[in-house]
Amino acid sequence: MDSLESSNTSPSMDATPSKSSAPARVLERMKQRQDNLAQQTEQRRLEKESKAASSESIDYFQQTFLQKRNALEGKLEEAGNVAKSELSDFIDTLVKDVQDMQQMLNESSLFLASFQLKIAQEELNALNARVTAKIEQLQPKKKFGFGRKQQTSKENEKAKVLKKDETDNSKETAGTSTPGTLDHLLENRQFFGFKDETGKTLTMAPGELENRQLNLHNLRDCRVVALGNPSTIQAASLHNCTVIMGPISRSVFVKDSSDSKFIMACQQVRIHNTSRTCFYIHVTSSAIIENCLEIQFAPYNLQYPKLDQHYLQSGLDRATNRWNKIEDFHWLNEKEDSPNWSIIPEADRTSDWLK
Amino acid sequence: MGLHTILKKMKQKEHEVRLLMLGLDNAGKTTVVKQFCGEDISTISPTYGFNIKTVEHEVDNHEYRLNIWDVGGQSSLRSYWRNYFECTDGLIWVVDSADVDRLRDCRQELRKLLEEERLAGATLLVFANKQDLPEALSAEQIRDVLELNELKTHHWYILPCSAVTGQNLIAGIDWLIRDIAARIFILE
Repeated sequence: MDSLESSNTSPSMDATPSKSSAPARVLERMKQRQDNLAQQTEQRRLEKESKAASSESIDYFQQTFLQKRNALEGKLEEAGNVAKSELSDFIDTLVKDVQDMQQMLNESSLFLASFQLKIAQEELNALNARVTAKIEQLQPKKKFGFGRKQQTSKENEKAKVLKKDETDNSKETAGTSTPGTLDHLLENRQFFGFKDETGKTLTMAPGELENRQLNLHNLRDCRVVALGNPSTIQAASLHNCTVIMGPISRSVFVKDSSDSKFIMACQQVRIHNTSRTCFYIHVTSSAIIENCLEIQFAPYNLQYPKLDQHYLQSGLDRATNRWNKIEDFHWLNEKEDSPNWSIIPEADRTSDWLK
Repeated sequence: MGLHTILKKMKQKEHEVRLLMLGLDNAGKTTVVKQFCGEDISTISPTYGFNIKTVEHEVDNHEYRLNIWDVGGQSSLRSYWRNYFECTDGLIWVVDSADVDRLRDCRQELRKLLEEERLAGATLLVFANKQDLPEALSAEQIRDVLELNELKTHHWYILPCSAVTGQNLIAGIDWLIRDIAARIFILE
């Protein structure tokens, strides 16, 4: 092979060393060098081609990114002239713009070189910081912010005095406080159900319940009657209450409750941090308890005129009821049953819920 | 992810992607997986431990084999989440958009996860689930509460969805696969 190749390898290599032991090795080395060169050329060619292809998308990215940046910077300049009533929308567009740019950057990370990516990300971070600062500047301070909590008590006094003015302010610009902050959401949440009641009978008509999540929050000595077909139930902090429900299409979540009774049909039940509470349930998949004590179960035995219709709407399988197949997530011992729940003996069960 | 893993992945004819589903309990993780796979969602129990689902899924004319790990969200199980972090390509964080009371928990748990070194390379998809309920918060509200805009360490995306109706499940997972594919299966 060496001899075959040797004829066309080295027209310019006359200075081949004359030592007879070496020529084969030299020729081999020369061939290798040539191969390497050819390979390098090929590689360069490929690189060039791929650069040409990707440079289009890089150019496109850089142009678009720049345009978006300029547009956003323009908006920031104009921010002072925005009418108060449009402020909230305006802020939303700012946030959205930054997000769009981030999205675009994420999507372009495939073809951008790492330094380009880094530069763009840094630019975007700086822009984001400016946007955040602008939003803070534009927005009237919230009535209750996190910031206030960090203030010293002296400043707190001052804040109290100031608060009155601020409340007036915030009335005028209601709806413009940061829509995303958790406190704002908790204050302005759309709450469907009953909360903070004591010693009352609370009823909900079937029509209201359809496809809704019924929330029960902080009730004491109450009787809740909701004979309809909601989607889900969330119950928290119920004490000495009786909750009588029609068939619920999906899940029920009960937590932090005690000394209560729940009568309901549903697909899943999760019971957390609850004690001394009875569940008369129809559950088609399963009920679980976690961190609970003295929970008792019996089959759902509620009767009311529209029960069949509500069952039908709920889509629950009436033939399957796993009311006594309870999983205790705090009881990992498979050999022994969980001591945290039991079955109500038949003789002790109640059924006249609606009397 | 090490170079070796990347090379190994490139060699595979059919790309395997490992997805980890996490979120608080009652967020709808199992329902998302089952609905995505076209299975019956009426018999789902609260997840005790985990389920693994392997499903073939086509995105942009490429066939992917998704290994979806769906891990229970009960607070007693959360300390075990870290057992599933290794080799995760994509993290799907499922939020119950109607459970406003626990959003603070939700944000805290997500933050903890994102600080995990073993999840450093994973793409994050957030599903703002339960959009079929009228009181569900919008995906934008969930994004703001979770402060996703501050998140610079991971590629992320949030979508409103309903595991019950199937809304946006495929769209979300397609985005996730594309993002992962762009990072891992580069040399196609």
